[in-house]
Amino acid sequence: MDIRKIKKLIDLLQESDVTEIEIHEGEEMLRVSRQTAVVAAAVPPAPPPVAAAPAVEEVKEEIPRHTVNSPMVGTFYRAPSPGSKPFVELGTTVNPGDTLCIIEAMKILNQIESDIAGTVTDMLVDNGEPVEYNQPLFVIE
Amino acid sequence: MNNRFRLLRLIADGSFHSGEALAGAMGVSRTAVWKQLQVLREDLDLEVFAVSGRGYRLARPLELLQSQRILSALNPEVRDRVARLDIHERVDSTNTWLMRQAAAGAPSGSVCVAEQQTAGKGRRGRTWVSPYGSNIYLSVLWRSARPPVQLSGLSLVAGLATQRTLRALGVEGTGLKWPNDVLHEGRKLAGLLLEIAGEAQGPSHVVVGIGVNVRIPERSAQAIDQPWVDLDTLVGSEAISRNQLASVLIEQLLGALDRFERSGMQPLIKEWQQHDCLLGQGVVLHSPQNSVEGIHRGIDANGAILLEQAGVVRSYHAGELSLRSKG
Repeated sequence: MDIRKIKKLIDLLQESDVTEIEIHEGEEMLRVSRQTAVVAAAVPPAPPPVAAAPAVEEVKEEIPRHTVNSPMVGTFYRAPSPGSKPFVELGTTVNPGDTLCIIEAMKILNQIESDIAGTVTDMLVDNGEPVEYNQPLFVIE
Repeated sequence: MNNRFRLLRLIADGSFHSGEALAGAMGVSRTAVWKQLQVLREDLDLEVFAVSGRGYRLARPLELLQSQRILSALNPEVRDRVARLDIHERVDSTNTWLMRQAAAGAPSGSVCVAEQQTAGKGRRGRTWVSPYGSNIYLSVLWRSARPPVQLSGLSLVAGLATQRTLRALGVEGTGLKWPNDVLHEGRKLAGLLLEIAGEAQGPSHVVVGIGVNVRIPERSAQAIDQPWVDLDTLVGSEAISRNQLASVLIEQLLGALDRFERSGMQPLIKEWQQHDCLLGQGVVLHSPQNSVEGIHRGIDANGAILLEQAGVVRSYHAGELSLRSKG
């Protein structure tokens, strides 16, 4: 199949709302798809499917994420009291010693502090949820 | 000390004092005395009588807290353990104040007492109603070699120390509700809140905060959202010296903290269960996301509550306990 023909098919797909075009010419088959999922080609010998938007595999982080873990069993609270502003949000910049949340159990309030400087990039527990000993609560990067 | 509190100390005995004598003692005008008395009425919720020709007096005498009286009543061994004793006329919360001191390096055994709290704390954003001069609001800072995870039993131990204090002062019929409420016939007489900070591997510091209802004035009572009782109702507030109560509380608490640091909760389980109001009864443990029902079977060495469900006993660390309603 002519490479210019394939190029034309891709352009055609991009201009339209169509997500997939499949062409059969004798023994040859070509399927052009804008889905990022891998498309199975059923008929051999098939050229590799051409994706309009090839999926980029996420680069695995090589540095382990720094998590702040619960020092005790209890209930996780994001704010000092119901209705008040949470200690931190996604994207909050924190310094060592800044309070991130409260774990409460048996009328003991444990203010959990950040042990490093960084940005809160993930919150792993919802307000009011029970947490276990050593359960990761926040990711700080 | 500002004028308001100086004036209050002058009239605390409950007898008549003339405006002139008060003005003289304070070095201010009689009008200034009158103005300060208005402040006492409005801000501190105190009843002040004014009788022409005789002067002013408080409706009831106030026994204000004095560090000398509290310290001198302590057994000398315990007195050495009190690193410092701060008495505040007014503070946001004795716990909050002491946590701030702890962060600034205050030593273990620091004690803070207040006549009034403006932001007294209960659990989860609740307020501990803290009117002036009528109750006990006391916090103790304790530094432990144990990590926070090992300190959970302390919450129950501190409740037991509070109940022991009341027993020692002749208040009978009190019991404990997990984790640390002190009740009298289902009504709350004292409450505790602990705050912990520290590394996951230890050491940590903990502030134990205790509120004991000695005499709740009527106006403050309206703000309390749960069944309560005060010592005035149970034994008459004349029978209880607030300074002595603070003193015995410090003694019991420091003793309990010491023993806990050495041997944990285990030796106290039996005594705790003897005073447990709800042992053996059907209870509900409420958490923000769910509630569990069961038969209350006691506590374990971590201070967790043991609930039996369908013949299986499990331990729970968090939640608010109440009696299961019948029917």
